[in-house]
Amino acid sequence: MIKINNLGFNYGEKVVLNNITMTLKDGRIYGLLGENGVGKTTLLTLLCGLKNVKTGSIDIDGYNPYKRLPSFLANQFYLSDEVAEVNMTASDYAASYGKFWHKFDIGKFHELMSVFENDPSWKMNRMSFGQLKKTYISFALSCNTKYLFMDEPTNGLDIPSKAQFRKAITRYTSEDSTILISTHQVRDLENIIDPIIILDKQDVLLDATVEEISDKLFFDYSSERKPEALYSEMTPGGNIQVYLNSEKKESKINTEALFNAVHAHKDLIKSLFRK
Amino acid sequence: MFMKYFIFELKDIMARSWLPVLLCGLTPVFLLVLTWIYMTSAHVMDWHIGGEMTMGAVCFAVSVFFFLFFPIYTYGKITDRKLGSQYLMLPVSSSLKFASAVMISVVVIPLIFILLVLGSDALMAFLFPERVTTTQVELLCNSFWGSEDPNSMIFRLHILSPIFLPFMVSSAGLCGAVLFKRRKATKTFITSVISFIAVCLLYSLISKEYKNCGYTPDFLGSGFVWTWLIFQTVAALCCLAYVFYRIRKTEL
Repeated sequence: MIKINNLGFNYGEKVVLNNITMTLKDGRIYGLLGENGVGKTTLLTLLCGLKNVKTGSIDIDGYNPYKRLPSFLANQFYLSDEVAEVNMTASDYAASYGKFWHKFDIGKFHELMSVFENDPSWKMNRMSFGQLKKTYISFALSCNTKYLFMDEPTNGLDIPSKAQFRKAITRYTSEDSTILISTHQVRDLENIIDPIIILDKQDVLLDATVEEISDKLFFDYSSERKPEALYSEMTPGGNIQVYLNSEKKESKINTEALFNAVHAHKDLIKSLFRK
Repeated sequence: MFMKYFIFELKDIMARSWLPVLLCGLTPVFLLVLTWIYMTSAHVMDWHIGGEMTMGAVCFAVSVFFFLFFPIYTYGKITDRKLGSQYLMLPVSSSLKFASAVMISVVVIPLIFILLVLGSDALMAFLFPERVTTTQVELLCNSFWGSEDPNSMIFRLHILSPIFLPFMVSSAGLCGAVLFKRRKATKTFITSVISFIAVCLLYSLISKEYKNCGYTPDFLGSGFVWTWLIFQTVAALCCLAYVFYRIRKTEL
């Protein structure tokens, strides 16, 4: 379990995260959403141990990530938004680096590369950005770690690859894995992320499961405009409106509309989902 | 676990860096070729490359640059967001990463380099005996078993350099690799030069003070070589201590 307690972080005088407290339970795929510069990458790098907290604490199964103990590092994988071009074939890379993660499965790596239609015999420094990203995604999933932190994993992927990524995340991760995916391209990860965390400047606006969100908010796809809508937008198929679910009706969440509704009514949403 | 990681890192580094190591190690070959070209174009027929004054000086200079810049080329990635993340997130302890970095950049690669230099120099002397009259190996042997004064410059260059030079200069290079974020090579070189000048100035000041008193202690006089080596060893250890600290505490 990941326990974040009164977490604060700043770059010099610029405070990015302030008094963040949340618990990430095992076996979930968390979506970490937020505008540019709110601290999504910072939070991920704090969780994997690349940065040290300024205030507060992070506890992951009893470990302080910043200590970077091998036993902690072997149980997690951090996939950065910018990946390194290495002068070796994808296959050689997986064979060399994979042996440091005790659950790494080379067969799974090759299977995932095949799913992504990526050739493991190609040299990584000759691949396009998208191909390189898919190689690292395949490697990350093949490490079979308990914690997987992914920063904008669908950046650079073409449309078919995004669909392949969604399939790979659901099919090739174990039930007890905790995955935290940060993105601002919410449509890429719709239907796979649950719960959803929305960060704002120095604040957490929302940290709730899809069930909790559906219980409190209603997503209306009809063409009838409702004045009490928290957010509404015209789409090619009609309208999408978000309003309070006073009648406890069921609806399918539209993550983008949710994001916009949350930002339009920050205080209301915070009080609605306060735990 | 150390051997597993050490072999992994050594293979990775050799795959990336075998060419620069080889090219620098073949300095005697390049020097001979360049001298041959120059002398031929100047229509000088009877020439040869001498021992310490030409080949030794060039090899010494190339060695210093190689030992200083190779660790930067290899381990400068630690402060890079992409490659550094990969390095820091590898499930190996910071102590092992540090030990491996020191073994590779201060011991293994310098040893390979020195063997290449001495080997290619000996090969050139064997193939072209009229052009290469004294090899670096011969000079080393003369110094070890000959009657050279232990305090002479030649003795220092030939005996102490292969042993202490890689340790001192590579440690400084490794320190520069983790200390600076940008323009690592330039900043490390400038810092090293300034530090060297500062130490020389300090030595001059201390010597002058003692001379004014009419007394020169051993550590500044006949035993200065060892004073200098002890000082450089301590400085190298301080550099390595900083490298260890940075591997443990770097934030990206």
